[in-house]
Amino acid sequence: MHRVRVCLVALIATVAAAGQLAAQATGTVRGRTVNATTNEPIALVTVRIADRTAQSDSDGRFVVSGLAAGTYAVRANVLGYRQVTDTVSVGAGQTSEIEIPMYPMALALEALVVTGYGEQERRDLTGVVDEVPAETFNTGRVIAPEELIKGKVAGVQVAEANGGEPGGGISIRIRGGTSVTSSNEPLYVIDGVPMPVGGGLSAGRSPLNFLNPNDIESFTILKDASSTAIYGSQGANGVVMITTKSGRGVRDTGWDLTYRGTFSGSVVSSRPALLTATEFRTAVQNQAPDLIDYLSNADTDWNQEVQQSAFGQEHTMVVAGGTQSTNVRASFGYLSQEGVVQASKNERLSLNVAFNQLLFDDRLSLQANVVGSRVADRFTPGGVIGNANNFAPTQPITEEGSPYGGYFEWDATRTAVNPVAQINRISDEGTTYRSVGNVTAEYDLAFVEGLSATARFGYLATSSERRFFAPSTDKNQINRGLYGTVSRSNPTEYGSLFDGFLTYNRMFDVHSLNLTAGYAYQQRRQDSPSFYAQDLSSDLLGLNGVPSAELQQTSLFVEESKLASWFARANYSLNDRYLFTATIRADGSSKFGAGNQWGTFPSAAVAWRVSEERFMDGADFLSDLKLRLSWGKNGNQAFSSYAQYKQYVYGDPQAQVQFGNDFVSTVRPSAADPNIKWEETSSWNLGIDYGLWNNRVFGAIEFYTKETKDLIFDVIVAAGTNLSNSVITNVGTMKNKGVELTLNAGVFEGGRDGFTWDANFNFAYNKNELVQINPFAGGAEQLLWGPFISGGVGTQVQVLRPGYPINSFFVFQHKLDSDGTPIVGTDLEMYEDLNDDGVIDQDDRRPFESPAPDWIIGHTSLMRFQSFDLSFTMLAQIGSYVYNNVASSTGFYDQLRNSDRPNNLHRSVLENEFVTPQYQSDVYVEDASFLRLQNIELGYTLGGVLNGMRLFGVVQNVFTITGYSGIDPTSTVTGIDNNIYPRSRTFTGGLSVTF
Amino acid sequence: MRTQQIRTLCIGAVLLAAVSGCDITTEPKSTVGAAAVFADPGSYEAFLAKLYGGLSLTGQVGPNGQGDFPTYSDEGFTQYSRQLWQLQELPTDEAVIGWGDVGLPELVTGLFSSSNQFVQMMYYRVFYQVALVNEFLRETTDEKLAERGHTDLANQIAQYRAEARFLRALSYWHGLDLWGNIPLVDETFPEGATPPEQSTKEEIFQFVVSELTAVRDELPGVGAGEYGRADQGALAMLLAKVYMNAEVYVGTPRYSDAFSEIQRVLGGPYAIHGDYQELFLADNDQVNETIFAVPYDGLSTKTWGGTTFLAHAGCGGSIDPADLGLDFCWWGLRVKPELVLMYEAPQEDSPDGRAIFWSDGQSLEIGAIQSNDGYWGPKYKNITSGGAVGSNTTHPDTDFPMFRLADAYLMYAELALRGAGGNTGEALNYVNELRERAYGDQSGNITAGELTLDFILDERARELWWEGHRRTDLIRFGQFTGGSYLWSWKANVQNGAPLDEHYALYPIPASELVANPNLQQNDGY
Repeated sequence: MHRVRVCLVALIATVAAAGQLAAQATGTVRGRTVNATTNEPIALVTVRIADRTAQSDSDGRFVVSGLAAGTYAVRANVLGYRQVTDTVSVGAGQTSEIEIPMYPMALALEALVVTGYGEQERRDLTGVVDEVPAETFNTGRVIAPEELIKGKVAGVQVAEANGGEPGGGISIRIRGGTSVTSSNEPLYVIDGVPMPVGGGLSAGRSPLNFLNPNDIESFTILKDASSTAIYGSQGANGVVMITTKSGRGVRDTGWDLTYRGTFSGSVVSSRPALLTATEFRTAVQNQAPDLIDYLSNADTDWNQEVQQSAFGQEHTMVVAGGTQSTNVRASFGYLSQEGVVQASKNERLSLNVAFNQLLFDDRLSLQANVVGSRVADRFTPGGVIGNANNFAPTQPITEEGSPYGGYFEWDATRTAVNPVAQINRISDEGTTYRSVGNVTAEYDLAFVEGLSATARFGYLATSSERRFFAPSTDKNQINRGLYGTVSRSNPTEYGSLFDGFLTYNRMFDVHSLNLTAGYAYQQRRQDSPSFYAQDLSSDLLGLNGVPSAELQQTSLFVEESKLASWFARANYSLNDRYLFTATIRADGSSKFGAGNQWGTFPSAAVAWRVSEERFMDGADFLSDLKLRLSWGKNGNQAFSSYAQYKQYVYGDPQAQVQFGNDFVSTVRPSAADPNIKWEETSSWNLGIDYGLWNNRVFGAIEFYTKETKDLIFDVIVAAGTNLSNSVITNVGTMKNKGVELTLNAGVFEGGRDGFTWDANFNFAYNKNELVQINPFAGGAEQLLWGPFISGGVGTQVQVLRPGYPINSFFVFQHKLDSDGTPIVGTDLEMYEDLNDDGVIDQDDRRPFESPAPDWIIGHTSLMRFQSFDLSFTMLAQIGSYVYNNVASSTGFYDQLRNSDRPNNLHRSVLENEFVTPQYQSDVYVEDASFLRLQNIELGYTLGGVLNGMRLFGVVQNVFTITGYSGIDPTSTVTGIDNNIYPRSRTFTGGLSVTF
Repeated sequence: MRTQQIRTLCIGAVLLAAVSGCDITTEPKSTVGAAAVFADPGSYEAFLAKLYGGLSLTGQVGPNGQGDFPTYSDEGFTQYSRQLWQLQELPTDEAVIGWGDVGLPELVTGLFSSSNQFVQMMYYRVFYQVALVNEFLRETTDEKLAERGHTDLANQIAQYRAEARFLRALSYWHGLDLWGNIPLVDETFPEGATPPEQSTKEEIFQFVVSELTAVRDELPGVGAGEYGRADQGALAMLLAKVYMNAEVYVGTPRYSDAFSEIQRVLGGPYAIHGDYQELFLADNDQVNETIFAVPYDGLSTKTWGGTTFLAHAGCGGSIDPADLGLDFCWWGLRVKPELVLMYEAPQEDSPDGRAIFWSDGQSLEIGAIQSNDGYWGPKYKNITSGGAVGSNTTHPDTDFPMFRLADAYLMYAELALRGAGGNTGEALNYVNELRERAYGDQSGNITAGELTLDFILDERARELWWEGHRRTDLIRFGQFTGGSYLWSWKANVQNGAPLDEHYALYPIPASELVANPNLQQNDGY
């Protein structure tokens, strides 16, 4: 609702003085634009009265003068807020005051965007920068902060590494991956401090878990080369900038205390399709009747026995306040969440302090951010999920007189192991202490107008620990001849950085210039000590001590890396219409070999704001149209240090050589490429930003193509030419191209109390192609790739073949009979003989689909009606394929005989009737396209209670529509579904209140 | 203004100070670079130990870890003596393996293909040894020693270099025997860059012979070397084998040269051990019959190949692994019926003590390769001659005898029958000495009339079965390919079928042909 207050005093004074004051020809309107919900001033608002325009300053104030007396319509416009129209009356020679409250659009775009080493106005951007503000984050129980942006940005795929594990590791792919052996993760920058690859060190879960999602203000994703080139040899996979909340919002003196608390419960949302006890007994009777005597008479659903309803809670308390020149925000958070598989849990205690200070007449701005947390993880022991899938359902959980802690176990050694026993007897835990912080000083230099200098000192420190203990009477330990294991590793990582740069802003006439130039230096060190003891003499010490053990091994590895860079950027705009940007960065890294120590990464971009052109004046419906074209180069150096050195590694005491009556330790030199360098990506991006009907509908369309060369591979070299059969060197090439489309719409605008509905759609299409992996092969060589699947020894079902996407599945083509069931018989009867040579061998496998989706589609809806708000997010992927390893490793009748005691089978065996394993059949490569309602939240705001209270409830993972037969179509980013942690449906309820 | 200028200067100083942090070099911390490692004179021996370790171990962590070939998943597959054994035994009349790993059944049939992963692994192992030796020789030249101030070690290093060259010649002999036309890469070949040219069998043969001849005098005398290390006895034995097969390699017989080498061996301090089985027990490093062995130890030299593989894989069926000193059986290797039938009946309990087979519950005939048919071969055991179990039931202490005196006796006999030297009377004595050791008395002795070349071929099987010699022997006698001798599953037919002659050489791995475009594949592949 609009509220227009005309100052009564002014009006009366005007009337009273009408006769006394000399008649003046024009009047003035003075006003202030504020955010209607928070009462904060809004800068850069364009206010139009009659034919006059003014722009509000940083305090929201504007002045429009030279108006003849009368009543006028006022139009206020700024990106991210709904346009406001109002009226104002002006008297001759008088000043009218007007206050314009503006409602933020739910899917707002900030006017100022964080870019690398600086900020820029969104309207002047020439690169692709997508921002996700806190209002649009995914809601519910979110532990790893990367989950907040899942489905929110076109072209950004957020995939869990281990299914639904609480806080489990996450992979982000921006516009398809650009590497095969080096990391594909984007560069994470937290408050200006770049993180090590993938977010840094972790004790086993997502390294970014130390961030409390409630403390994150926004994510800014830099996608094209023009915006990422300023990060040089670290930016090839895109950049994800995380900005934590600071106290900047609180302008008035005083303090604010906010509390937010939630409770949640989760249940498993889907279970693997295995045989029941009765079906299993029938299968054994029919297929392996000699084994029937091994079966007992119980009926155990092992998956149900190891799963649980998981409960969690989170509490965050924020204290914020300040004075005119000081702002402080401190937040304390506690999170505890169990996983739906027993013995897994994640707990976090976090502290985030942000401090802002203005000094020297506001010339010096000092900003300090410190984020610190302690994360305690408990892990479900490895193998539990696999054993729950494999253990025969006819067996009981406990057995009287069992020497294995009272649990039933098979009396042979090559068997599955009781998963309930493992959960209760094995401990696997981790603790991580992590802190990231920076102090930034920005000083406006006096002697040159528009010149400022910034210096930033940042640090990151991680100390983590992973502890493991398995007793000597654990059946798995006995089977593998380990007889008890205790181990502990304590990796630590420390890093520091310094950035120093100068910024120059100048506007004169129709030109506007913005220059940045600077230097950055960072160094890191990672220490990884660990010890391992096996064959323990006693189980009494558990996790916390080392009894005498037959085998003890210790290891220590230290890795250091350094990076020095020079960078410069120039932004120039002409007439507010023609925009040019150029950046260049030179990186020198300790990881690069002597011949390639420094790399240079340039980029250039142009943009044309078509909607400002005079010939577009007639097109009123088009409020914004900007064409952008950019090109740039950036690099990827996410491989280990020291690859350029021929390192001599000492042998351990179990690998000694007998000389006479003594044993001698060995030392071995490694193969190395002394000139190793970064992987380089050059890309083009063509973009169109559009806005219709006063930005009621706005968005962007992007077309891009990326070519990556010098991919790092362990290449098989000619035998005898190097100190191994392979050496790590730069050889490959890969291409990605695609289209992205973003659409934001204010579908219903009901004002303050009416029904409002904002919707966002994002579509992205990416096509990946590997061009070359070995220069000798002329494009013909292929490499078997991917993790080793469960089943067989060293079997891989993916391939790198030039001309096909990376990680394409490499399988036989299974012949189907008339009703679509795969044929069972000899190899020749089952599989297509693709090369017609009468034999089914490795030459008849062919590349078939890949795990990367063709299309990723996201949708967010935010609705409001009076005091209620409802929002939901949907995510869809089309064209991704997954290899169902659970089915392939247990879906054949011979699996009953593969171990010493029969293991359970996958239900697919009832349909397929496979007797021998068919690991390499394309029957198991399934279409994993899906549509999922990711979360839905209903909230109610109670006005008048303290300073505002909101109650809300969220359901996550509401439903998934997919044709995939496994438990989750988003099984990891590698595309192999092999006993991943099950996904869960979570119900969360909570409240947030401000005092 | 004053204060303003001071502020600006301070900022400038800070920036300058930071710029000086421009150093971007790092040295490895937990491993040593080439320059530093040899500052410690103990490194030479450690490097030499690695050269020997290349025959027994798979990496720097035992039994697996920090593998020499990180690209392979199963590190145990990449072990030198295990692969050599598989390539020399599986396609012959001596062994069959029941596991289904891709490429293994193919080895049993003899119908090799260039994509066979085991052939590939052995190829890389051979050249890995060669490359390591080349690096060792480059780092131990007189100039390098002088640079580091280690000239006082010159004598010791000279022996190390001779041992290294012996090991390189050994691997080149294996390469020549298995593939024939391989590239010749020595320490003068520039590292990295261009792939080497292919050499001919003649060139490799010449190289091996000249290398061994050149270093002979720098090694300790016959039988005088430390256990596990090369000496003139091992060198003479190796040269004898190279000469013995010269007709196969280069077309010209060199039997008389082989004979002179065998004479050197027979003149050494070796003696036939009293008990055959004890040659393959956990304490077989104590027997005087061994000329050159690849030593293993349950605590200090652990691998998943070597005798760990031989002892575990030959155990299966109703054998109690504890009787072999093992934790459990791997159910893999059985003997082919042709080998069993070479011994005196009843083969299940032959008076010939070398027939160490397990027939309880087993059929003699092998109905399918991937099965558990056939007699098990628990020849390698992890118990000592006193009956005690070895130090580790997973990894035996048993060493793998690469060259032993009994082999030399049989070579003498063969050479005598081929007219290359010596006399057949002496030959008969040697053969009967072996048979007396096998039978425990003279009931197995043969007469001069029975001593023929065909007998020698069979006797070599009876004496040296499962020791990695069979394929070379069968090829030398012209029986490996062709149809003159058929054994179970030869050419993938249960009763055996003729094998085309191009299978006498293994194919050069397909991946090597791609990485080195200078190479031509062997004929027939």
